[in-house]
Amino acid sequence: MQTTAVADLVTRARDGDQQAWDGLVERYLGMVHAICRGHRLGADDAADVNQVVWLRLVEHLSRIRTPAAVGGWIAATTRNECLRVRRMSGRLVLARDDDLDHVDEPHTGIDAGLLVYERDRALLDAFGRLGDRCQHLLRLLLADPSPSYDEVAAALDMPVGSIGPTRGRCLEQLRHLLG
Amino acid sequence: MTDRPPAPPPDHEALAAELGRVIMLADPRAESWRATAGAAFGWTAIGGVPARLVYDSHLAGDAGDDGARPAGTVPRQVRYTSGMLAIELDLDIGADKLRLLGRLVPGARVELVAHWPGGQRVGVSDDDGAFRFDELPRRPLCVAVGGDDPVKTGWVVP
Repeated sequence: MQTTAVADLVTRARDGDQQAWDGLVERYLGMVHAICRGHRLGADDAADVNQVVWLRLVEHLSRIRTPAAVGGWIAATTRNECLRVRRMSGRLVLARDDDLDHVDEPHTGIDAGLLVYERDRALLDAFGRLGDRCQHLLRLLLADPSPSYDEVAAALDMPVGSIGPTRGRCLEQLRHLLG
Repeated sequence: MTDRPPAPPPDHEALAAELGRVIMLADPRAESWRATAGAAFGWTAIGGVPARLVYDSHLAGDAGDDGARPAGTVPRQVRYTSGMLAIELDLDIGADKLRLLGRLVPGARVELVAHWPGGQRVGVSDDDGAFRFDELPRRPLCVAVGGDDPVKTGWVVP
């Protein structure tokens, strides 16, 4: 979606247009979900974060200076809420850059039981062996609809310029793990 | 006769597409998420001018590094203003419930509504502007103040 279209949705939502609000939800709900799951929040915690993010946004709409950048605001707010929830539950683990190369026992927080094909399970298993930051980045980039690099940068607190190269390294590592 | 060569490894874009498909299959988003997000817009229908948050003891760092406060300790204090009106809220947060003690400055007897996602409760302040809501669910909370110039707070997330 073009930034002008996003800005238009924000402007109309400010004026009380529920359809425009629903359009923002449609555009960014997948990103919010990907960020929550990237932080390994459980279902209840993730649902709470989702609720708070949208409550914050509706309250904040009139104060957004650059409507086209609302996605970055949503991404950063979601990230902060996830970190708050993780702090409250004592589960904060800081991801470092070298987590990109960290290979451990598979852990994705995903239930592979929903997958029918062995090939899909193998791919999910390999994904689970990637470092936390790789998993988070790939999951976010694969959200539907796909967020912009600016939004990804806000969600992961990383420079826009490093997203593409990091993505390439993560996918290369994934391919290596798949054999 | 020679063995068939192994299948070439998928390129990055094909691999990413496969991974996206698998994640979507294995980690679907609950449909309730959309309804929750859509319902958040209901705040705009709560009558009143949005008041401005001027103090939150959590944001002021009174709650400690983690921003969390164990149930049963000092209440969280929040203050909003709108024009000459101040809305002071003390939230005593338990495990599942919270108690809200509030005061309007200057004091006035008006109707108030405590809103949370999916519910609300009506109350009245006394002549000094004091009000109280017991046994509210531990959910994001917004207080709407009636009277000649209605005002509402933002969402306070316990």
